[in-house]
Amino acid sequence: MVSTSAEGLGLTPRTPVEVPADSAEPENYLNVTYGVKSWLLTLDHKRIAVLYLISVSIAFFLGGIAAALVRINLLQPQGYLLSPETYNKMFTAHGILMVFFFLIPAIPATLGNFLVPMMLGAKDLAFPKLNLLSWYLYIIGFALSLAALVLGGVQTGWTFYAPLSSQYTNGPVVLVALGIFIAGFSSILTGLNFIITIHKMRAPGMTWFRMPLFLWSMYATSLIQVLGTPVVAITILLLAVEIIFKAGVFDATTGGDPVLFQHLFWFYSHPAVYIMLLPGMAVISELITCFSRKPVFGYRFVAFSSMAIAVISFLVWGHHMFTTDQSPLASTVFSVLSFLVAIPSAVKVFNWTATLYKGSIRLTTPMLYALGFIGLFCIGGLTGLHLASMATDIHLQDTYFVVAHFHYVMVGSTVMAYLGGVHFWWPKITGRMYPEGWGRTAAITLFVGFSLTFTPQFIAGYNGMPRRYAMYAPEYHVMNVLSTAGATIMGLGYLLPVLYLLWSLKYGEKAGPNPWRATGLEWQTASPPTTFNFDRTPVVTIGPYAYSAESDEIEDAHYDMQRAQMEYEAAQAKIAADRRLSEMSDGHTAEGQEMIAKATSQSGDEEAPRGH
Amino acid sequence: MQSSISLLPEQSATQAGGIDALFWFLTFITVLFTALVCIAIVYFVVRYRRGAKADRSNPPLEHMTLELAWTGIPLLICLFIFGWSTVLYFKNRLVPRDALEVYVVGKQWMWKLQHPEGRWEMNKLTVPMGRPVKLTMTSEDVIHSFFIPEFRVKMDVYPGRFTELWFKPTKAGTYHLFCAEFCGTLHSGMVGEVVVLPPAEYEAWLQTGNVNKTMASRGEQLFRQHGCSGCHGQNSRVRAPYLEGIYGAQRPVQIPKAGVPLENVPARTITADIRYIHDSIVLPNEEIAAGFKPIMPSYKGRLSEEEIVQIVEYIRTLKTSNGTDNGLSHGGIQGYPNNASGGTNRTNTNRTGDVGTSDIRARTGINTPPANLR
Repeated sequence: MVSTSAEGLGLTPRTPVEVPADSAEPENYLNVTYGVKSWLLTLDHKRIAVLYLISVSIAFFLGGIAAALVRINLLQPQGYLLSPETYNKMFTAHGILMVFFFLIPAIPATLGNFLVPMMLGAKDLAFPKLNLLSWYLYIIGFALSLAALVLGGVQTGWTFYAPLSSQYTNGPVVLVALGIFIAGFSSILTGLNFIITIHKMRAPGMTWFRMPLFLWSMYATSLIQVLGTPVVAITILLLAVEIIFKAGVFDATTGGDPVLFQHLFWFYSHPAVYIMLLPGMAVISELITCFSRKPVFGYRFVAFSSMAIAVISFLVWGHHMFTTDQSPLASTVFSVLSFLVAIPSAVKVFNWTATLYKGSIRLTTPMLYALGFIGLFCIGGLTGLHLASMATDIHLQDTYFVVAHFHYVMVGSTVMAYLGGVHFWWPKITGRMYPEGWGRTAAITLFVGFSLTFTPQFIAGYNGMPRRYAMYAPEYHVMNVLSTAGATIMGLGYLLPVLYLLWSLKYGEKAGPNPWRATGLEWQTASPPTTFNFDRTPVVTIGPYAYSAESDEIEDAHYDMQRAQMEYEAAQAKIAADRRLSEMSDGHTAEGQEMIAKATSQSGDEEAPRGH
Repeated sequence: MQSSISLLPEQSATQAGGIDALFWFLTFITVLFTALVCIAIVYFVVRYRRGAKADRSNPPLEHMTLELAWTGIPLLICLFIFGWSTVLYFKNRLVPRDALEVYVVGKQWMWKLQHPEGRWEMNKLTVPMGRPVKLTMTSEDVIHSFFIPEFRVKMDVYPGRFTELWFKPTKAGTYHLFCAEFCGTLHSGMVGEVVVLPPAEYEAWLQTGNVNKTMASRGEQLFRQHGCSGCHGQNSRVRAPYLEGIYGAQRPVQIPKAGVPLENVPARTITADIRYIHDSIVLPNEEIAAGFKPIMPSYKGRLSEEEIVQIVEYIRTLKTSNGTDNGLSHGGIQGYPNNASGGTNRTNTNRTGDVGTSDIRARTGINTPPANLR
């Protein structure tokens, strides 16, 4: 089970990679220099991507522990494990770690960092030093927030609503917020770097419409990062000023406006949802096309839908505030715009699905994640309509329905895409294949665990269970137990990739430059790539997805036939050899009997010379 | 304490049916589209899996009609749902004019509910079946949110301002009252119940328990204790606006501007509603009754939110000497873009008057001359 590779999926390269077992690995970005310093001072976008990969994985793991404690506590209506205070600190930590330190950087800063220059045919990002700085800002922010969350803990939720976070809390809110503030600049710098790189560093012939869709989505994401993140920085700054100097910005008793905080917060945080989601969509486009061996259907529509999402996402923040005293007219406008932002997402889903038509589909691990993404994203996206519509949102706002909805989008979609992407580009990043059988097992486990965790939360939410409750009414008990059971399965599903991916670093099969026979520029160079990615700058003459399902089928059939022929011949030879051997040992032939007799007499004689 | 599974929440108020219909339509759309996409995926994966014999020649890479169709059809569906939802939302938002009034004060971590008749409750709201009830809500500290799932109503509750919520219970029973906006350590303990009684039982309930004084009479007491009557009373020597008939009336105010003498600031008209009176008590220099000097001291910190609504309730009962009843216009809808539309809506909903109103009104003192109360 462990050793299954891409073979059998028709993805083994025609000419197997010939790497003599004892020869030294060719120079690549991983082995060009060694030592901690060479990593901490690296300017190579690929190494920075690996640094990010490690750091966001730590954030995900810690956020996951907080989630586990939350779910365990909800096993009993009166709370199973934690005091309400600790419970509040845990869901706050879960939200902050997952949103600001995992989801936002996850795909752009790891896969994006690694792939944007490679897909463009460039040596590196436009500003390598800025790139390293952005990692350091992330780490400083992460360390600060984490220390404050672990040592003190805050009970504000990741949303930090004033005046709860300003006048009525005694935890280290300012420190946690400062960490997010600093990490925000990391996000801005990464976005800036990507925008400039995509504008200025495309290889000769790489026109905008020859770019892989991954880059279009990354570009849209970067725009939101650059334009949106400063607003959350301002909001956090105002909150800090409010707490430290009692400035009265959000404090109603001194003429401030508590709802202003929500406007500012969601002005960033709704677009931020798309900072988390668009990169997921970026990955899915690449996976679907490679494993159906077909160009993405409606390339331009998929590309422009990313841009449409980026633009409209800035105009929908008020849909988080239908139960505030926001004017009904404003709510109406926000409602209709929220319905509109659903359309480009739907267009993407339909185009991905149509890509499968007349394809040659291979259910590899990344493809399973991609197909899982589409299904879960349908549910996550469409339940967004329940919340975009004002009448139903009044009931559903601040209940578990909302929790289920955004977890379908953030976990069911983004995390699935992230894992799919990590598996897909793992051979490029590390030079090794992950074990395919384990990969598929984990993908299916995650899908099942996820559905069991979050579907009951829709029901609990519709029945009125408010979110952020440490204790709850007994009629929600069953749904919560189901949800915790699902979370356990999900936890296992996350643990598996950690184990087998680490295992594959040493024992995984050598991947070769292009194990998936994919068409992007990143696959036209060695795995792992050299420091400057390409031996010479590639020249682009065609679009990004030169796949043909039909010819792949023919080639694969031919390849299968050759394989079968070889296996047949090998089997024949083995049978013949076995038969000869058994005939000999049974002594059916005179020659054989002679041989046996000889062997028996010799074995006695040979005892003696051993003494020498 | 048996943990029965609940899959469908009870519908116990007039708003619930409409919201549920829309909810289930949306859910139907969700399931339908997800199913269509999933079926298509499974079908394609089976039909076009690697090695399966299938026609793969000339795969289409773009199809304008198809793109327009799957942009246009979802758009139309979305706009249809938006229309439905918005009409329903505005319908649900209109407060009937004859609604019973209850004042709600949220504080960490309890709900205090005051009936104008004098009864008050903690974490429990008792209301009659079949009559609209309007809650006027404020918070002593952080943001809370008043949520009754069985009624499908929810509204955030803020410090320093008033929000409104109304419902008309259709079934007697006991329902959940939740705080839906995270409000600190014991957020999940800020729960209570809503008890809907048949009208007769409700009348009886009102007469029992801690009925010492109506809200208005407690307000009147505070009005004297804190010296408000010294300036605003009939015989005062200080020049301060008289408050008789002020509630709900259009009043000219001046909003001071830095560097401009007050007499040069043009007056504008506002409605003297609960917000205005509340703010005049705690922030008296923000909106000054036109023509008066800004000499009123702030009562911020000296009166709790609870006491302020009692004073407001008292002021509402004050009538002009000729008996003009300004008090009736309190059934407006807060937060409408302008007063004009609020006014039209009021006229529309006024038609939903029902029997059994007058006796309640008599007790709340809305139609009673102030002399009777004093």
